[in-house]
Amino acid sequence: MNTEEKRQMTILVVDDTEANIDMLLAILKEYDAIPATSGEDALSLLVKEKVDLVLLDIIMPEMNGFEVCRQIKNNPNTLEIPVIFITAIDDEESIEEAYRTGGVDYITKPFRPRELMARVKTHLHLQYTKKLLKKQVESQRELLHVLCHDLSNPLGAIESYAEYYQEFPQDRGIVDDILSASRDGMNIINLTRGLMATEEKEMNIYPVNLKHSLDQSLAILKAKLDNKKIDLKLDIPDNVMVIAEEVSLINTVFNNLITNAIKFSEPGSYIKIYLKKQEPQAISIMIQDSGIGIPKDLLGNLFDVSKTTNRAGTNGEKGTGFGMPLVKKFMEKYGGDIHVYSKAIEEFPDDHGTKICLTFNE
Amino acid sequence: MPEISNNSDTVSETIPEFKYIDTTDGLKLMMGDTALYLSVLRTFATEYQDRTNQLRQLLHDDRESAKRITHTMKGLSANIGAKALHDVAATLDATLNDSLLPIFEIELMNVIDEIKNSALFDEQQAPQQKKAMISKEKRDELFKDLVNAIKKRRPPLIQPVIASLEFYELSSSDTEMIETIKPFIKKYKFKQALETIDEVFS
Repeated sequence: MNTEEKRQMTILVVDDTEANIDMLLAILKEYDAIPATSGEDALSLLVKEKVDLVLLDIIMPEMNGFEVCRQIKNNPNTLEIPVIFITAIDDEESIEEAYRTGGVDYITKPFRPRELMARVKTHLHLQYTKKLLKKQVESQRELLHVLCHDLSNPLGAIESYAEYYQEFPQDRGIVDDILSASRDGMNIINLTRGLMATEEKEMNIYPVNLKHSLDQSLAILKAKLDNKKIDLKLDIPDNVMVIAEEVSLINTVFNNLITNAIKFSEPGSYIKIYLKKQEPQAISIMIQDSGIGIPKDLLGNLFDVSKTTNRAGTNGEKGTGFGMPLVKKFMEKYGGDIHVYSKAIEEFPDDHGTKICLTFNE
Repeated sequence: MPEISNNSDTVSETIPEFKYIDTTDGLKLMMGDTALYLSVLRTFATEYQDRTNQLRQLLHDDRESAKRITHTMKGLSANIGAKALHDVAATLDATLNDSLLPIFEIELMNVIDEIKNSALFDEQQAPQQKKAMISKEKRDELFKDLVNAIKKRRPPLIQPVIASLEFYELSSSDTEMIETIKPFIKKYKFKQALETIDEVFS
């Protein structure tokens, strides 16, 4: 944990003795520490505040530390918060009871600052790791869920095409449909692999020629552009370099964004790609279309893998829904950023379209 | 493990020579933080003055509460470096034997007298400075900040607001209110502090 992460860690310090709180707050000054002078005070505070760790004196009037700990552990909202007891060094019985009520550790009076800090740090770190793991498991589950859902579309189609083919083997045209659905499925699998690779691997980033990468991506997409008779205006100088990784920039970032722009544009319209006015050490480009735009309710979830949207394009083009989350992941790996501005046709019938702003390091 | 820095910005005070308190030991337990150490010594001398009589009474009527006090005394005396007091407090805590009270009383008074007679209790009077005028809007804003800071219960957020308020020439009722809530805040009794402010404002 760095200094900033420490400052965001909230420690509740519960002790009825003012001088003890003075010392504990001084020892824990790198953290966000909140004092409480009684058990009741501490419990009411835990309802309002998100607390990462509790330092709890055992011997207090009215409600002692054991009782406070029991209540913390009996409440589903607070049961995960680690409790470290404050106790006298020679009190074996208390120490046993401290563990029995759900304490994770104990510190002894008189306080030894370095030991106290080490114990606090250890338990905060454990808690931090636990939360991180939980979040990762959660996001993997979501990914799996979305993947099953999205793969069931092409696989379902393949199944029914194949059944049809068994019945009418003379209709060989259906093989094209089977192939196309298989490719959709493979596409989903490849994008998922890409998504996982961005999470696992450190990426090697370096200066890449922007115009050159865009040209390559447009060459791949030429058929799609021609198909819809879309006029692509590329206005990027030859010599602009940005920090990225070339393969993913061409095949994932530009490919997805320009494919989307084509997909949601009416035949015969235009797409503009141009350099935006610069801030120091950063280069921003805009990809702008005059297509049907993104409705407000979808705009907020564009980058969320668990809420992927899979809208058909203006000519019924299909997608996986993984594209935008993946683009964002790559942009973050490059140390850059992405912003989407959109006016949906339903809301702005005369002035609709989407602008994507990509910001790179120079 | 980060290096612990001495609070050098507050070290205008020096630690007096003590006979009954091992200040080297005490200061070490406060991570070399002189300001914190002196503040704990002051609190100790103020808060624990009359504990022997209270203890005598409680050992008779309410041994559970007595145990709580001996327990606190045991920990605190060790933390400030009062070794002789700690020894007798520890025995008293383990046995709750009231025949130890006379010696406990002597050791406690030795420590408290020593702190009270030292330079720690001399200065208190800060040099009076001419204070700045304050507009009604600024005053209201600062009190609103104060209430918000107390609601958040973090001393590092509250202290600067009080310092800002004290920088100005306030009405006698405002000054009185601040003087009333300061001890609550020092004792971390935020609810009482808020109640006091509420009473005055309503």
